[in-house]
Amino acid sequence: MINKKQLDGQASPSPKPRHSKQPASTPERFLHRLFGNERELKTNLSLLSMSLPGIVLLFIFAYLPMLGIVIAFKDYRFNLGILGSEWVGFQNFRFLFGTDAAFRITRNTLLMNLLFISTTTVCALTVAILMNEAYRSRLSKYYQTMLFFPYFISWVIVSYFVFAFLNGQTGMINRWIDALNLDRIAWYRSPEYWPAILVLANLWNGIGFSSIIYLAGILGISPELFEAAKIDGAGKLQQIRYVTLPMLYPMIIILALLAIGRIFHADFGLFFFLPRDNPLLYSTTDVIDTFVYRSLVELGEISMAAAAGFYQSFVGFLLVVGANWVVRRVNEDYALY
Amino acid sequence: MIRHRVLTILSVLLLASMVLTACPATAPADSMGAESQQEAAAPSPAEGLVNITYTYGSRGIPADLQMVEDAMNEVLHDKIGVNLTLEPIDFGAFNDKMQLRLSAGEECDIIFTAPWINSYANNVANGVLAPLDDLLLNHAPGLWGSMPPTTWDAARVNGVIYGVINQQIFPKPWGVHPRKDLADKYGLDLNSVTKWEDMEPWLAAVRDGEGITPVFVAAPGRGLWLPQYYGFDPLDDGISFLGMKADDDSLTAVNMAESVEFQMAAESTKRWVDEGFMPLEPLPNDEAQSAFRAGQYAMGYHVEKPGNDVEAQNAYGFEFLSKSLTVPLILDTAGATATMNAICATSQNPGKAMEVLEEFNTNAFIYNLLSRGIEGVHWVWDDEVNQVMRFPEGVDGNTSSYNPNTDWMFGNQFNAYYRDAKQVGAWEATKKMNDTAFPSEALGFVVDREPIKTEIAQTSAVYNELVLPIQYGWVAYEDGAAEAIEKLNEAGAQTIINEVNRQLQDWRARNPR
Repeated sequence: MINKKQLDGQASPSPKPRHSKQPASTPERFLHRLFGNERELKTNLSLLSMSLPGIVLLFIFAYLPMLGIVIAFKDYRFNLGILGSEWVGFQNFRFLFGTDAAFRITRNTLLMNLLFISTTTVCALTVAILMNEAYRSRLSKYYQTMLFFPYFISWVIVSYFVFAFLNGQTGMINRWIDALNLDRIAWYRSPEYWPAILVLANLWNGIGFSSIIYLAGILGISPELFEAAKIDGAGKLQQIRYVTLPMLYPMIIILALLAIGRIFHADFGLFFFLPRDNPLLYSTTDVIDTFVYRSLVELGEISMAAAAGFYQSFVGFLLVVGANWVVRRVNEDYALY
Repeated sequence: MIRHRVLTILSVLLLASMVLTACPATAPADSMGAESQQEAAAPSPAEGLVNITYTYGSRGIPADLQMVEDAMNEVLHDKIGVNLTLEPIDFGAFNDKMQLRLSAGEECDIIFTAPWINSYANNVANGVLAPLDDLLLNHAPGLWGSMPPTTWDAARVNGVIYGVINQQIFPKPWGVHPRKDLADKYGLDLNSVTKWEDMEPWLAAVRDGEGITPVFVAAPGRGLWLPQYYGFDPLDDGISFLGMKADDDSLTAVNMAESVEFQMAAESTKRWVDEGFMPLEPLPNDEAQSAFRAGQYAMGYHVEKPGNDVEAQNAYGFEFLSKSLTVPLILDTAGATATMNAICATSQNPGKAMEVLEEFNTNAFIYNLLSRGIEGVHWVWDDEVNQVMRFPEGVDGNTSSYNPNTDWMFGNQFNAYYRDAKQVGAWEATKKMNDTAFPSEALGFVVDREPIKTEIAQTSAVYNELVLPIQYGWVAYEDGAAEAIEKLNEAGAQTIINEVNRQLQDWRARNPR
């Protein structure tokens, strides 16, 4: 169960001081930007030290491994080690772009993730607003738990649910279709249905998580705003439109930017297990991650896998910077940095 | 979505290896070595014992592992002065764990390696396996002499042996195992069956009479295309389309997807699917196997080695017939090297490790201890004269506290006790099959993937997408083959074939017939 206290704890990050006075010399300026001036440092010392373990972990698991990028440019051999292996430049990247599959997997990855981001944002916002209205209801905890629960179910298991619904011989949906005297649909042989199936599965899985975040955001909005709106005669829908949504924009944009940063990384479990790695469905379900897996599973080439991972991260990085730049142009306050 | 999910096995491997780079590669290896030496000192205070670990794949970890390990050490301590540690890893994780450990340079002694798991070719290319020629001659003369040099050649890469071949069935006698009750009921005369297509009248009769899809196939799908059945030597398990006619003394590799044999197999498969002999959407493996046990299939087709009817009976509960339809039997590199044990380049005592392998392969007592457990505890004699064992009363293969059921992993399978009186003589028959199989002209040749790995990655994606649906009978050959072959070639199939042909000629020049 998720209670209100936890939610409030998660509420939106405090605004950063943007235009504080800065010392002149560069290293000092850097330290200043990191920790604020001496007085700020003193007052925040306990908070800073509490964040230290997190920062250390982040450094170890997110920054140190970046050195491994070098593997993508080497012909990595176990016995020679990373530094000892031969430098081969961009050769490891060739397999990604050598066939016309490159266009398809890029298109599928981008389009499916765009669909996921947009549908999840819209549906999660709707659900969050509904949950907020029902927040004092007895059943609200029950709703939240039910919505959140799928988030913990592995895609392997979900793939069996989906198979039970869709398979050709004994699938539930085909049984219903039989009962209606319509023609059966061979789901696992018809790629055209799969974008919708995957979007539904992704929503079912992720909506609980995202809506809880938005709900936390809504609960953080000062009630005075709603009261003022009510006094001015705003109805429920107008309150949502003129108070709730504008107050949530920064959060929506931050979450969207973070999602865009991973737009080149498809959810491997979702795209691999739900279509059951079925060649007949590749035209709509094959994404960069599944393609890389399929290309390299026999070969076991770590360097080529590293190249694919680097390519995804690099494009993701460009997209975040680009999207942030666009957001900054529209409204500086909403930008990530 | 802010969330972490397991991406791909490969990227996990990658990440982990990246993390490991943070510390110098030798540091963990050294500390591990020190630890294991200390561990060794604790349980076995006897002077002069050498510690050897054996790491292999296992279906779960047997409950009585320690008991078996102790029983083995009772012999090994005195005989070769070795303290053996068994280190089974669950099959589901075996490949990833081994690749991670090997890539991290962790110390190991004996490991299981094969073309299909913990890849032999990759391990050799990565230099993590010790060369074995001298070790075999000096430390394992019995093992060395148990197989003809031509068989050992199959394990050679660039002239050096890196893996000890486990003797078992080497050729692939692809054939059929129909249920005996249904064969009798619908008048199947297996003697007159010489090819897949001869099964069709009976399959049709079973389909109509029993109302079932007669041929057992599990997801994702499977076709009748089995290269050895059609006389091909598939030169590399990782390059699905590549093969060579086993009797082609000019050593010319071809694209098997372009061969008339592939077309025949694909067309028959399509017919079997269309006629309802094979399921169009096969069930996942576990469910398909339970369906077989429940009588939902009438026939399987697989490697019909001697005694396979008994194995099928044990697995599915019905009585089976079994017949190989593969003529002639072909001995190829992949078949001979299907399961191997190798010694790590990081091993401190490769000589002692080889002596352990000598025991695994030539000492029937040790071998059966490892593969079957302790007499009187895990199994009892059914007929000691014919070396037939059975489980003790009230115990079966699933409830036994030590039943790895992977004889083929540990050593010479011909030293195994029989599990069923009906199997008596199967090892002699299998050995005869091995000895009389027709050696492929390319027996002993191993593809060096290094110069063509980009093309292999590209073509394997194309093969899975466009050739497999034809192979599985989902797409008609005439509808899909032209595009599949064109795309294969665009992805570099011809480059691979040219390179492999060059390697074949080189290999022939170095190994004249």
